[in-house]
Amino acid sequence: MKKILIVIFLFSLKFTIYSQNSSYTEIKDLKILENKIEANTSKINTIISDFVQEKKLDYLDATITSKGKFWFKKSNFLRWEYFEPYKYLIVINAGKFYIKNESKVSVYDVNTNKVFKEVNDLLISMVQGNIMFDKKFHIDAFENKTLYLLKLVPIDSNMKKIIAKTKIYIDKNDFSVVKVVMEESETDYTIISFVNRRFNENISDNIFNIK
Amino acid sequence: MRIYRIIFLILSSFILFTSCGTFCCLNKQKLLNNIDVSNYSILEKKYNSLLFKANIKALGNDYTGLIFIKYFASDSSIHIVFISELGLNLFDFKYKSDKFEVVTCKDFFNKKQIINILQSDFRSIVQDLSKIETNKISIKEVNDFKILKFIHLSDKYFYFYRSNFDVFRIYKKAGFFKTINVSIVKNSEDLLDSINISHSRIRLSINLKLIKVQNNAN
Repeated sequence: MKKILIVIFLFSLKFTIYSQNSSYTEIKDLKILENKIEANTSKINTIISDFVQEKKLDYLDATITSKGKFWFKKSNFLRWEYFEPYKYLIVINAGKFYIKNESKVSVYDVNTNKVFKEVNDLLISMVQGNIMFDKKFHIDAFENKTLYLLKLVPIDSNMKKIIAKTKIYIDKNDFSVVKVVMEESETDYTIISFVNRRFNENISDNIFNIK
Repeated sequence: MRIYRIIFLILSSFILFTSCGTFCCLNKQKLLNNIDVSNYSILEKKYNSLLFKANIKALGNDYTGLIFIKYFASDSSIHIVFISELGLNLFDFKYKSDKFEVVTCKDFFNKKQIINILQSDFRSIVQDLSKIETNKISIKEVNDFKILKFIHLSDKYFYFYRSNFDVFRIYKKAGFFKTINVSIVKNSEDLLDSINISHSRIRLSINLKLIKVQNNAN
């Protein structure tokens, strides 16, 4: 009986902590948060992180999981690499957008290709956490004890057809992005969780050279 | 010259007649007994879902990502979902009661012509053979394999298979000139490995490589 009570107590304690963490309050003054994010992202020159991407198709009761790693170097270098379920590589380097699929490499000029410009800007601002400076979105901000939550709704109607809403979770300690949720609909969304995040480590330029 | 034309016509008719004649028309029950159409499954319905690495080349565009195919026993429907590497849902087609419907469709794929071609291609591998009219089915035996032939929705289908309806090729003829070839490759353990769909007159091909299967029991 004593053991059961302990289990119930621990369970309710865990539930209470979870409830506290998950309850967000709205941040009315976005300017203060913007300044904090700007001040902190200016200190970050490089990021290395593993990520887990979960494509949730709730209406089909399915989750498709991909895993990978990214390397970011200021101001516009990114290597976004999938290891599972198969190898696939995206590299952004000096205005070029490279995609390597198996042995085939495709190159796109970010400045002349609107779609890749959008993807380039989105990926870079997403990993840096400064997406709230992007004027293409209407932004609401929230916070709890450990996280900031940014809810972004695209202003452009064409963009709205692709992504209805994006949620970005930012760690209050280091202002790094912990999780991104891209909602296409309420039952169709993608969660990207960033783990093992490391900052300001030296990254060789070779990482962003694709062969 | 006229006589050559007549000989040509007679010979062509003869060839056409003999080629049709070698297909033995069967009633549906016999066909069911022979190949068990109820268990007909290129995609192996014993599995709940299949995940493929996908490459769709269409009219000069090259799309890669994942194709997720899931069978729902509750309403006998099948969903075919194409997802980009970054997680964007590019299309979701639902096949139910021998009809397709578009659940979602984005970007380049959201054009009637493209949707029709893709649905027609996927029909070859997911369609329910029990929906085919009895008098339009025939089977031909060739060496170590058989060919199941039928007409459905104005298109001619030829399923090349070995025992237990182990289909390794599908040939589809739509109209006079359009043909679609589907090759199905299995691995050494006799499990589905890849599906490749190509067209004779349209610059469109679909290449699928199996990544993962989920069993019904899981």
